[in-house]
Amino acid sequence: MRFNVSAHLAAIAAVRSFDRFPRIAAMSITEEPPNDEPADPGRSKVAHRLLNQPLRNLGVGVAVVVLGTTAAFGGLERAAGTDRLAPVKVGVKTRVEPYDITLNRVVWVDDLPNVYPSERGNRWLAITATIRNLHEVSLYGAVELAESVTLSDVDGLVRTPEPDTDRVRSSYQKLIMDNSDLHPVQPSIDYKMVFLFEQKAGTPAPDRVKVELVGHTWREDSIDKTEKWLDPTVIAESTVPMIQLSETSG
Amino acid sequence: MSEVRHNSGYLRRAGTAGLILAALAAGRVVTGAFQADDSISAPFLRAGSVGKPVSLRYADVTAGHVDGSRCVSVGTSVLRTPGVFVVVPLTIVAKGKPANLRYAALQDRQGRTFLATGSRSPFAPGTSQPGLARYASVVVEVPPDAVAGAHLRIALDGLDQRRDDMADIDLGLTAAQAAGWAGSATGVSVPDAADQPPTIRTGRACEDQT
Amino acid sequence: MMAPLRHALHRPGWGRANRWGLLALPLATIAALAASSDRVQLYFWEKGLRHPTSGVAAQWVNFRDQYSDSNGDHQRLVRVRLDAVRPATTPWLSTSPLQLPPGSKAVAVTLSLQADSKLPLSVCSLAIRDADGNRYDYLSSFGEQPTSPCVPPDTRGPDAAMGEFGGGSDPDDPPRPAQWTVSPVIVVPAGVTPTEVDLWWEMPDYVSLAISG
Repeated sequence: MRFNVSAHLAAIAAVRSFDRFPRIAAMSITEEPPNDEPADPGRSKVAHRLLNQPLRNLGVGVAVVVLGTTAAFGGLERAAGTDRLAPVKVGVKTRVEPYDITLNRVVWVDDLPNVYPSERGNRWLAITATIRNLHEVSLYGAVELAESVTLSDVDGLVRTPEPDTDRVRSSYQKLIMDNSDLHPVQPSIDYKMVFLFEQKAGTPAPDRVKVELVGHTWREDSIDKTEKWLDPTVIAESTVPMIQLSETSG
Repeated sequence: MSEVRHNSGYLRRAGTAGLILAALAAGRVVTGAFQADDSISAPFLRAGSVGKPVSLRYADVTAGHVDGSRCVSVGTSVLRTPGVFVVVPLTIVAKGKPANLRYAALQDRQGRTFLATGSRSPFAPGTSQPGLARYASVVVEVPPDAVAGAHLRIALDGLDQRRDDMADIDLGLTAAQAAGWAGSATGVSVPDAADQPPTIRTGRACEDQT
Repeated sequence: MMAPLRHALHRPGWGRANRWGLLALPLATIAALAASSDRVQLYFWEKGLRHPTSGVAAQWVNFRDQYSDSNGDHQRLVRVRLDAVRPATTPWLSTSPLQLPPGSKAVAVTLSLQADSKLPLSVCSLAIRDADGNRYDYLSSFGEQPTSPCVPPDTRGPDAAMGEFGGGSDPDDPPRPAQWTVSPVIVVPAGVTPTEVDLWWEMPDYVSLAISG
């Protein structure tokens, strides 16, 4: 879409300029130059006319050219962050590119079998979810998937927030049916899995957490020229209650 | 009249510049329109079928009898899936110098690529000495609808398969096989990669492997 | 169709009118090739054994190449002598019998080396070649042998310095002697007759030792 717009602009500009040159040239063949204009043989009539314009007109022209040029580099794209964010709804499937994600439960638990915290006594904040890779190629669980569901404003998380944000990734992404790390995430399979966030033992378990769903865009990396899922962008956020996982609700 | 000459000089120069730009743009459009960039960097696919060696630049690769299940035991871990695991035994004989094959993937009829990488779809054949067979297995987790007609792709470099040979083996699988594997309670036991032919191990029931 | 073209080419003064372009053409071609020549270095020259330092069995060979670590660029000076290439029945430094794959045999390569005890040498590769040029590498996984085929397993000497990531020499480790002998075992197909031993640290430079007899 963006390329179409800028290509059109460029085409229109090209057509207009070619249109104008012959007309000026034709004019100068048929008409004698007015006497009040200096007949400087080293200067064309076009340049001459441009120089005779008031400075303000030239400034406007330059500004139009500069702004038009930005279109080629995405200047006509919609600015990010202008939309109002949708709320995160537990139990509702949401398109979080490149995944479909349904959050199922938001709970905390003191310990889990066969999952070892970095320090004894640390607890797990867990978000169980059903996720599906919508891309046509396998994805690596620790990359976009870990970035797709994040917690913010929670005290005592072991992992540090993503650079320049307050979003904290999960420490583990595990498949519930066999407790294995969900890596790779194969296309078109509905995985029931859990995002595990490790919280330090000294901090109280939260009763509410801010959950953010973060989508990505498939585009060429400007550095290595390969296509990847890039540009993490929050597409939904909510503060949701978090309860302790009890034996019966297990 | 000198202005006329000057104007036509500008015109000619502008026209020349325009023609050069147009030629460059046309070249770009032509390479883009026919995906020339993609095809010159594509791997060289070498077709094959189960039981027949596929000759690649760096090795001969033979796919054996394909098995599948909704649970597999690999090394010390037991993996389960909501889809199915496809298990392909491979025999690799390197050519000229040792080879460590690092790329394996299942390509289905819809064009989806299921990579054999990471802990849940493992492929780690180790280094093959030239002239000596290396026995390994490709394990790939897929949805059952990807099984019928799937091809196994094998290549040397795990990150970059461009401009090099890639085996493209039709596994001859059917939807009935996929349904059988998805419904079966018997797991597949995947042997570790080795220089010796693997001994047949019967899989245990998925429910027992906890 | 061809006539106007011929006319244009043979028009008097065509060569003269285009003399600068014609002169620049070979230069432009050379410049274009030179601009992409780093690929020859990156994708070909440094990806294989290209630059041998040759010698024969039972004679010392002086080998020299460069390496870089976190302290900068250095010379690597090693003297190597091929002592023997013999059939083997046990892995290097082990007495348990080898489990040979079907259709294979094992060969022990005995090398003597001399080097400064402060030189990091343990990351190296060893291979034997047959008359057809096929290369068979030392694989430590075969018979569970030591990782490095070119240093004594108990006195490996320092690792390459990696700044804050460690490496360098450990004062608690016993120093590597000034001269030592290794006998790593390589598995090859049963019909292979070894003709050459290759030892290298970083491609493309390597020591090439001809097996006599």
